Amino acid sequence: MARERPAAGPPEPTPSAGRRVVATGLGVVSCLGQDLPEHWRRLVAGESGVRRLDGALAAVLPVKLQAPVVRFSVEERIRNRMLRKLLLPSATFAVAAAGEALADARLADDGARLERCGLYFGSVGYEVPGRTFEPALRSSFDAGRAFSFARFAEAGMEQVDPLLIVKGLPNAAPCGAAIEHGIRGPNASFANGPASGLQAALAAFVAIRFGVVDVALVGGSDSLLLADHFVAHHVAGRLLLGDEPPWLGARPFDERRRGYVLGEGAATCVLEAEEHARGRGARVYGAILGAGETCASPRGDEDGRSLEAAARAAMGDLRQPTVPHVDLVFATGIGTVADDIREARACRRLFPPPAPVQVTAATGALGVTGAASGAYGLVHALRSMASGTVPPTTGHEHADPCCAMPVVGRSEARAISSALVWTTDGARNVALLLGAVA
Amino acid sequence: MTTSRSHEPAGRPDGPDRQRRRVAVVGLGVATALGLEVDDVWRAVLAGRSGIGQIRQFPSDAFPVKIGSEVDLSALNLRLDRPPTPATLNRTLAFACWAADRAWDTAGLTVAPIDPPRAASCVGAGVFPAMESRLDGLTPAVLDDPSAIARRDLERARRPESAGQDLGSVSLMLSARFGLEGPSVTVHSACASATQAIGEAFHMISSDRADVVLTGGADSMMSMFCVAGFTLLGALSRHPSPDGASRPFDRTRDGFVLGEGAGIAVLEELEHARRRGAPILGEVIGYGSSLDAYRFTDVHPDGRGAVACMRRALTSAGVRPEEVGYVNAHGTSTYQNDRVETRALKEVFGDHARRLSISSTKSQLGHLLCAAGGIEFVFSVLALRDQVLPPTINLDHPDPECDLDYVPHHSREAEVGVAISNSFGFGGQNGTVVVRHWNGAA
Repeated sequence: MARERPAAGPPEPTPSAGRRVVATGLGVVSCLGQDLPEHWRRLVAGESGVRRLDGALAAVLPVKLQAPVVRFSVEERIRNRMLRKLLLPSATFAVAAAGEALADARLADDGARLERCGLYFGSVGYEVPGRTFEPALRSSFDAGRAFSFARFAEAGMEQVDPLLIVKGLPNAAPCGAAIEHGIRGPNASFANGPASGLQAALAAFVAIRFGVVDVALVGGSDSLLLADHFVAHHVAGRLLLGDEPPWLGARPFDERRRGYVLGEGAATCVLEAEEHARGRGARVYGAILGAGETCASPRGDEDGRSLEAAARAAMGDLRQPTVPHVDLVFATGIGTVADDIREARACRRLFPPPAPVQVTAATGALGVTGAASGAYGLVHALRSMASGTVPPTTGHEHADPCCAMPVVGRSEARAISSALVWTTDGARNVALLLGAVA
Repeated sequence: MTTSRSHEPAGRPDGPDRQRRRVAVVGLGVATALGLEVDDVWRAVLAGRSGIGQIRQFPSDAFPVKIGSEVDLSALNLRLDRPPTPATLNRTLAFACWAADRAWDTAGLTVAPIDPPRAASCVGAGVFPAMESRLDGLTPAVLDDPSAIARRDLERARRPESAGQDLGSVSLMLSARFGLEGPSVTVHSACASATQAIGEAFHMISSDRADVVLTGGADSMMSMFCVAGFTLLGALSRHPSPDGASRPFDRTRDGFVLGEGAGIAVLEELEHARRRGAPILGEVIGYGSSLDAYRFTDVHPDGRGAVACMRRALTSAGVRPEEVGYVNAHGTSTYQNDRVETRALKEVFGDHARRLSISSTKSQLGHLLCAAGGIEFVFSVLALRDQVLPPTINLDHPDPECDLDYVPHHSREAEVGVAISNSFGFGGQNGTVVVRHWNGAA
C-alpha cells in the first residue's frame, strides 16, 4: 500500500519515538467560567469575559478593559488553609484547575500514583501587588519627608509582610498544587511568559515518552491584571484602548484588530503514558504525538520562520518521511497587526494553497493570559478532539487579506483527527502535534 | 517516606538500560563575591576564604542583618560586541552575561561554528522587581494619590533600564547573545532553579532535542526589600562576624547568608564535543527531581523530598549509592535544612553515608538562591576534575544531628569517580544532578 495518511486518526508513532503520551484529564479557571464545562459552553457560544477596568490605572491610562476571573471562591476551591492565606490569585486559579484535571482523570485521591505523578508548570514572574510596600514606605520618611534607609530599617521594615518573599514566588502555583493535591513526582517550572504553558507540556511529554515519569500534571497560570503589566503592555503600544463595544479580548486575524485586553486564569491537563492510562481504564482525550521549540534570532521573526520551524519540528517528531495531516491549528492570534501577520505567514508556508488548514484562536474570548495561554490552547484542542466541536475565533469577523488563511469564525461540529497547538510571542515558539485516539 | 525504586518507571533514556546520548561538560563561568574567573574562585573556595561582607548595594548600616556575599558589579568588564548593551542590564542579567561569556569562550565555541537550531539556553534565574528605583522623589503626598503612583509607574516604564525585568528575559538574552535558536528556557523553582535547569538541559541533550545547551543559574536579591523580607522570615543568620556567619552543619548555625551571582556551564552531546576536540571537564550522567508537597518555607522533617530526588537521580544515572564519593550539599546553614539533609543522606546511602565526603560551599559564598545550583555544579565538576574536595568552613562545633564527614575547614585530595549536587527550594521543589569524573576514556 502506498504511504498515505490514514482515513481516521493520526499515524502510529514509530518505536524510535518512545512511549505514546495521551491526555486523560482537563481543568480550567477563566474569565468565562469556574471549570471546564462552563468555560467550554461559553467559549463555543462565542462569548467573551471582558469587563470594564476601573480605578486609578484607568484614570491615568487610556486602557479601559480587562478580562478578569470573577466569582472565584478560594474557600470553596482550596482545602488547605495555609494556601488560602499565602497564594496570590494566579496561583489559586492553578490549584483549582489542577484539582479539576486530577478529578477528571480520576487521580484525585490516588495517593500512590500522585506520589510519583510529575508536575510541569508554567507560571508568572515575581508578583508584587501594587500597594504591597505602602505601609512600610509610609513609616520610612524622615523629618524632611524624604525616604530614608535608616528609617526603613528602624520602623518601615516591620511593616513589610513577613511572607512577602514566599507569596510572590514565581513557582507558587505548582508548589501550591503539589501541597493541595499531594503530588510528589519529578517536576519543573517555567517562567517564560506566554511560552511557559506549552514549555511545561513539552517537558512532561519528553519525560513521559522516555520513561522518566508515567503520569504528569501540566499547565500554566498567570494574572496580568497588575499595574506593572498594564503599564508595560501599554508603553509597548499593544493594548486595546477605549471601551467601545463589543467588549472583546482581541480581534484575531481581523482587519480591524487594534491590540488586546489583559486577562488571567489557569488551564491544566493530565498527561500519561498510553499503557499506563489503558492499564487503569482512564478516558483518553487525545494523544500528543510531537513537540518542537525554537527561539528567533535577535533580528526578529517578521516572516514567521522561527514559528514555522517549531511547528515542523513538532510534526517531524514522528520521524516518518511524510508530513502528517493536520486538521486544525490552535493559534495564538494575539490581535496586534504585526504579530498576526507573522503567524499567518508561518501558517501559509506550512500549509500552502490549495490545501490550507483552518486556524482558531481564543484571545478574543479570554484576552491575553500570559503563561496560561498555551495551556488554554492545549485544553481547547483536546476538548475539541474529544467532542467534535471546533471553538470559534471570537472577535474575528472581517478577514484581513494580509492574514491569508482560513479562520474558524463561528464554532462548528467537525471531527478533528489531528491538530497543532502553538504559542508564539515573536521570540519563543513552542508547538505540539496532537492526534485523536480511537 | 521510603520511595521504592521498583515503583519508578523503567526504561529511562538517561538510564543504564537504554542506549542514550551522553552529556559532557565543556565550559564553565562564574560571577561571585570571591572573584569573576573560575580558577580564582575555585582556589579561594579550596583555601577556605569567605566572600561575605557588609552589604553595599544600599545603605545597610541600620539593618538588623547587613551582611551578604556581593559581586563587584563595577569589575564586570562585559564584551560590547555581543548583545545586549550593558545599559539595559540589571544585576542578574549582568552576572548571567559575564558567566555565560566565560563558559562559552572556554568551551571553544567562540571559534567553533554551532548549528543554531540545535543550540539552546536553559537557565535558572531570579529577577526580583527593582523596588529601589521606585524610591526617587517618593513623598507621603505621592502615596496619598493613587493616580500619582500610576503616573510615576508609567514614566518609569518608558526608561530603557525597565526592560529585562521579567524572568524570561534571562534565557532570552543568552539565546540572543550567542545566536541560539533552539529552546530558550528560564526555569524558576526558587532555590532549586539552577539545579532543575541543569537537569532539564541534560534531558534536552539526552532526548536528542539539542546538541549544545547553555545552562546553570543567575540571581540577585541583594535589595533592601528582599533583605527585609528574608530577615522577617527568620531565615538569615544574625551572626556578628561576616566570615563566620555561614556555618553549615555546625551546631551554632542560625540561618543562611544572602548571596548573589551566577554559575553557568555549557553542556554538549559527548560525541559532538569529541568531534570538535572540545575540552571535556566532566560528564553529567543523571538527574532527579521531587516535590515535598509539605509547606512553603519548611522542608519535610523526614526529608522525603530530598530522599526521593537523590534516589531518582541515582536511578537515572544507573549508579549504585556506593559509587558516589562526593556530595555538594544544599547545606544552607539553617537549623532545619542541614539536619534534614543529613538524615536524607543516611536514608539514601545507608552505611555508605559515613564514607561519603560532603561539603557545603555555601560556607564560603552564602546562598546564591536561584543561582546556587549553578555555582555548586561548577564546584562539583571542578572537584572531580582536580580530585580535590572543597571544605565546609566554620564547622567548629559538631552537631550530634549532623554527624557525617563534611570535609571541615580544609580541602582534601581524594579519588572520586561520581559526585552529586543537591538543591532544595522554597515551595518544596528539589533537584539532584549526578556528575562523573572524565578520564578521557569512553
